Amino acid sequence: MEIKLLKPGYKNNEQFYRDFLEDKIISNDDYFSNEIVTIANAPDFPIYIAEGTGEEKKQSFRQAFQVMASFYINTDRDLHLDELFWHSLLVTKKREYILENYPDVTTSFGDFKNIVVKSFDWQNYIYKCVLAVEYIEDYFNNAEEKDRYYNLVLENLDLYNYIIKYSIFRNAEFLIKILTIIDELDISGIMKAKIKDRPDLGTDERYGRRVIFELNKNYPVIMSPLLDIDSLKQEVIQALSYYYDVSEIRKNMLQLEHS
Amino acid sequence: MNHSATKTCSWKFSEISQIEELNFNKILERFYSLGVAGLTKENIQNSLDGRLINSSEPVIVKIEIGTIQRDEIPGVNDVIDRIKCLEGRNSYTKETVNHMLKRIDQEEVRYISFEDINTRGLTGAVNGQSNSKKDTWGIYAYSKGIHFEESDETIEKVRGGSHGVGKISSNAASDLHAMYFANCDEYGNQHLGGTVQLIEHLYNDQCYRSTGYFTDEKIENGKPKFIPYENKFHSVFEKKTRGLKIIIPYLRKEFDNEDEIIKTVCDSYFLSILEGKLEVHVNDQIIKADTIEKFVCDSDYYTQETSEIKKVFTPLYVNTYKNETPKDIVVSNGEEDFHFKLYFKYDEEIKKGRVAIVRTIGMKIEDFSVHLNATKPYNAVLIGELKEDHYLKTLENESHTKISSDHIRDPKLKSQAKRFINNLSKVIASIIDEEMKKNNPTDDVMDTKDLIYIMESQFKQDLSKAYGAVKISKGKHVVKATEVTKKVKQKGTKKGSVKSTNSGIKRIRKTTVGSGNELQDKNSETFSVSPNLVERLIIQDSEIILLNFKNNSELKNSNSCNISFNVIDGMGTEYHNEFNLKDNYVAIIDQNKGSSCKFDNHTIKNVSIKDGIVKLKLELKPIYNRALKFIYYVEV
Amino acid sequence: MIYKKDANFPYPILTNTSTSYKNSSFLLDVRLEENTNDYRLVIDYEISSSFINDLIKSGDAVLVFIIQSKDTRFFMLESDQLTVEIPKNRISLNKRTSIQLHIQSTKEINFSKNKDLTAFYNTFKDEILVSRNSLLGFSNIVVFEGSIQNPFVLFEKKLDENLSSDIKVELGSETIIIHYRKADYQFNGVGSSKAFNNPYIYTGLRTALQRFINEYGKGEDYVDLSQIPQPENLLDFKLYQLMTKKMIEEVSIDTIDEVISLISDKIIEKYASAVKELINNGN
Repeated sequence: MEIKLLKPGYKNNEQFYRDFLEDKIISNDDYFSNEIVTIANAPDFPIYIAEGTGEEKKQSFRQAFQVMASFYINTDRDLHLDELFWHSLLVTKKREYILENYPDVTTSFGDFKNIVVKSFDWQNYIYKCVLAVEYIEDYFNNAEEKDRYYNLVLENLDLYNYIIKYSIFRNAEFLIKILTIIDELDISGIMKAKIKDRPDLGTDERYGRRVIFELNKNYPVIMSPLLDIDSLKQEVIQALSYYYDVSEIRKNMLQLEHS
Repeated sequence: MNHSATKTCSWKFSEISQIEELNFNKILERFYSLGVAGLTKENIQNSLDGRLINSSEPVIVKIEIGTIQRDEIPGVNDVIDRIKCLEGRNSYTKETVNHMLKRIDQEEVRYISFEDINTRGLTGAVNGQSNSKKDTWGIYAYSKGIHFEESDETIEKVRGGSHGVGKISSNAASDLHAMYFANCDEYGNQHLGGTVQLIEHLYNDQCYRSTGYFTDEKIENGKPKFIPYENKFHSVFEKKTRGLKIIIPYLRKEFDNEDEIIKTVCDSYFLSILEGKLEVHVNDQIIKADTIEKFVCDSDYYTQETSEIKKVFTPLYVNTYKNETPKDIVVSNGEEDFHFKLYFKYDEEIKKGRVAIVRTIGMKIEDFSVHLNATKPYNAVLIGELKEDHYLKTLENESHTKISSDHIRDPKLKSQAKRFINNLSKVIASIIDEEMKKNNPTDDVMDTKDLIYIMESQFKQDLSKAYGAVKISKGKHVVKATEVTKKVKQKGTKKGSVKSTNSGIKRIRKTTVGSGNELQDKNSETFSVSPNLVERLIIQDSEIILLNFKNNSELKNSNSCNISFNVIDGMGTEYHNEFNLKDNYVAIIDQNKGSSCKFDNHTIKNVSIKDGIVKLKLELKPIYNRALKFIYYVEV
Repeated sequence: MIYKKDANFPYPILTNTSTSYKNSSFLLDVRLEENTNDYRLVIDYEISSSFINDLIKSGDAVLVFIIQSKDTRFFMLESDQLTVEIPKNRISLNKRTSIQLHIQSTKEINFSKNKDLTAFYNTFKDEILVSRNSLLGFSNIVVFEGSIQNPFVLFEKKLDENLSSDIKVELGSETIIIHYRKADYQFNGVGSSKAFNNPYIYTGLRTALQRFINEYGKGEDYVDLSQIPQPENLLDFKLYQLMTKKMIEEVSIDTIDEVISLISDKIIEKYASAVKELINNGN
C-alpha cells in the first residue's frame, strides 16, 4: 500500500479539517509533499482509546497491540515512530474507519486534533501501543510471555504512561523489569492507588508515579534502567518507602525468596 | 646521434664543424617567464605521470630547497669552463652569458630538488643510449622535447605533460641552465644524469653544440655510446628508492620562494591532494588530504575574505569541491558529447566567478571565466572522466594554463575545439542564470508570493562550520553537533558580558523562587549558586557543604545568609521545595561558628559567611537519599 | 538518558565542567557508519583521569553508551569495545539522536588512590566510598539531527502583497522568514541588494534571540548555554550552534546586540559600505 505523506502545516489548518470531513484531502495535491512510503498491509486498529469501561478499553488496546504486532512493528522506526506517517495514514486511508468509530471528530476541529492529528507523544494512543508492542515483541519469543506482559501493561496503564513520559525510562528493559517487579511483589494495586495523606503532593498523586519520580531524581547517580532486577527491586521498595509503609512488602519478599 | 665528445670532460657536448645557431634555446625563456610556479607544476605533473600503475598509494613529491658547496656538484667545473668560453653575439645572449659568469664564483650554491616516491622512475639506464623505446632513461637523458609514449593507452590519456618539454623547465630555473636527474629503478639501480643548455661554442679549438649531457661514454662496435654514471655523489644528488629526483643547482633567486611553491601546489593540485592521490612535501611542510586546508585557510597564503578573492580562487574551489553536490553536465563539440561533474556554489559575496577546469590526474588547467559571466557571484569546479581528460589535454596550451583552440592546426579539430569551449560557457552560464533567479526573484514575479526564497548566504558558512559533520542518509541531511565543552577553570570574575559572568552567582527574580514563606524578607535578595562554587561530599553519616563567595562582589559584604536546596532530577529539571530538610537532617552545624543552625523544612537560617566562605556540616538521618544532587540558593 | 546539567553531586564526578577533578575532561566523539542493515557508531573518547581510566581497565567501572532518540538505549561497553551496531529498523535518524557516555561503578570504589582530585576532595579522599552501580562521570553529548530540511539556511524571504505591515518577521520551524509587502523593499537590482536587507536580518535575529531567551531562560532574562540541552526547536538549534561555535557562553536581554555582532558576519558594516558605495556611484 502506498501512502502519500502530508506536507507540514496541516495540524492547525481548519480548512484541512473541513476538507477531511468532505473527503477532499486526497484529491488535493497541495496537502502532500512528494514523498510516498510503502507498507505491505495497513489494517484498521483502534487509534483512540479514551472512552468506554475499563474492560472495553483493555479490549481495544489488545486489538491494537495485535494488529500492530502483525503489520506495523516490523517496519523501520523511521516509519512506525514517525508522526507524519501516522497522520498521513489516518487522513488518507482511515477516514471511513474514523468517521464510523469516532464520530466525535465531526463535532469540532478540537476533537479532530485530539483524535486524529494528535501529537505523537506519550499521550497519543498509537504511540503508547507502538512502544509497548515494539518492546514486548522484541524482548520475548514465546506467546505466553508476550501475553503476560501485554496484560501487565494494561493492568498498570497509569504507570506505563508515566514511564514512557520520561525519556530516561523510555527503554524496553526498564519497562519489562518494572512490570516484572510489580507482578512479583504484587503491588499493582498500591502503585495505582492515590496518595491520600500528603496534601502537599496535590490531589491526584499516585504511589506508582512517585516511585518513578524518585528513581528519576536519583538518576544518573543511580541508573535504574541498568540495574539488575534484584537491585532495581530494592530501589523500587526504597522509593515506595518514602510514601508507604513497606514493611509488609519487605516481609513478603523475604518469604518469597526463602520459599 | 652523432657525437664524439671530449673524453676527459664529465659533460659531453657533440662536436660540430661550425657555429650556426647563436641563440639560447627559445623555450628556456618561456619557462623562465613562468617562474617557480611553472617549474613546480611541470615537475609534479611529471611525477604524477610516472605513478606506479595499480598502486593506490599517493604519489609523494618531496621538494627541498637548500644550499650546497660548489665542489659537491658533480662535474660543475667542466660546465664552468665551457661557460667561460661562451661568446655572446647579440645583446640578449651577452646579457645571459654575463649573468652566468657572475654566478660561477659562488662557493655556496642554492639548489632545489624534486624527488618522487611511489613512482616508476626511468627504465633501462644500464643500457645507456640504447635507442629502444622501452628504455625510458635513454630517451629522457639524451633527447630533448620528446616524451615517451605509454604502452597502455589509458595511462597515456591521463598523462599530463603532453608537450614533452618538461625537462627544459628545470634548466630554465638554473642560473647556469644546468639540471641533474637521479634515478633509481625497480631493481635498485641508481644513476645520475644531467643536461645543460648553453649556446654553440668554441672550446679548445673545437666547435660544440649548445646542449651538454652529464654522462659517461664507452665505445661499442667502434662507435661511442653514452652510458650513465652510477650515482655515488653527494646526498643532495642521491635517489635511493624507486623514482626520479630532479636537482637544479644555481637556483635562480626569483625562484627561491617556498611560499610561492606551496601556493602553486595548492592552486594546481588541490583535487589530486584532496582525493589522496598526491602528497607534496616542501622542506618541512607537508601538504596532503588532511592538511591542505590548513594552508588554504591560512591568511598568510590566501586571502580569506570571500569578497576580496579576485585573483586566486583556491580557497573557494576547495570549499566548493568539498561541500557541494556535483551536477552532471554534458558539453558537445559538435561531434561528440563530453560528460562532466560540475561542483557549483552560489554565493553573493563572490566578486569574480570562475570555474576550475581540472583533469582527473589533478592539475588545474584554468580558472575558466564564462563569457559575459566573469563577475557573477559563483564558484565552480569541473571534472571529467578519462575521455574528457583526453580531450581537455588536446585543448590545453603548452604551459598548462588555458584551454584554447589557437594551438590546434587541423582546421576541423580547431573548429570543434572552438565549439566545445563556447558550449562549455553556455552550459555553465545557464546554471549561473538559474541560480541567480533562484536567489534573486525579480520584481515582476509578484504572484509567486507563496514561494519562500533562501536569503543571506553568509550564515551558511558559519552554520556549516558549526556542525561537526553532515552526512546524507536516505537523501536527507543528518548533521552532527558536538557541544563545545568548555571547562570553567577560573572562579574569578571575568569581564565580557557574553562570557558567563563566571562569578557563579545569579540574582533570582523573586517570583521564581518558591511560593513559600521562607523567603519573606522584602529587602533580601536571592541568588542561585553555580555548582562550581560549591564543594559537597558525603562521608559516612554526615555531609559537608562548602560555598565559596570570595570572588563575588554581590556577596562579599554579607556576613550571613539563608540557604535553600533545589533537587535536580535525571532530566536536569530543578524542583523547589521538593527536598525536606527536617526529614533528612538531624542537625546542621555552622563550622565557621562551631554552632548549630536553625532550619525549617526548606531553609537553613542565618548561616555565617566568613571570609567569603560558608562551611556546613550536616548530620544525616537514616532515610536520607544519598543519590540526590542539588543546586543551592542563598538569600542575603 | 542523556544528562547534562551541572549540579552538586554527593561525591566527585568526572565531567567536562566538573571542579572536583583537576583539569577534568571526558570528551566523546562518535562517527556514524552504515551498511545495508545496520548503523555502526564508532566511539572515540578521552578521559582525563588516570584513576578512572584504570577502573575501566580493571573492570571496576564500566562505560555505558547511551543513545537517545525516540527512546533510550543503553549499551555496557566491554573495556576495549569502540563500536556499537544497531539494526536500521530499530533506530531512526530522521529526528534527533543524542549520544553520551557514562561511567558506572561495578563495585564499591574507594577513592583513596585517586590522585586526580582537586584540593578539597583530595583531603577527604581516604574516606570517599562510592557504592556499586553509581555514576562516576559523564561525557559531553553528541547530537545527530536528521530532521533539518536545510541545515545551512537561517533566513528566508517571502513576498506578500496582502501583508498588513510593510515588513513582518516570522520565526519559522527552522528559519527566520522575512515577509515583504512590496518587492521594492528587498532592494533587488540596487547595488549590493543583499547588504541593503541587513537591517531586516538584524531585526530577525533580535526577534529570534528574544524568543530563545524566553524559551530557555526559565523566567530569568539570560540563558547559560552550557547548561541547556541542544534545543529541539530547529531554529533554536541553529542559533545554539552559531553561538556556541563563537564561544558565546551566555545570551541575555542585555547582550543580544553583542551576540548578534558575534554570530553575524559584520552585517552592519556591510550595510554601511553598501550605502556608501551607492552614494558614491549615485551621481
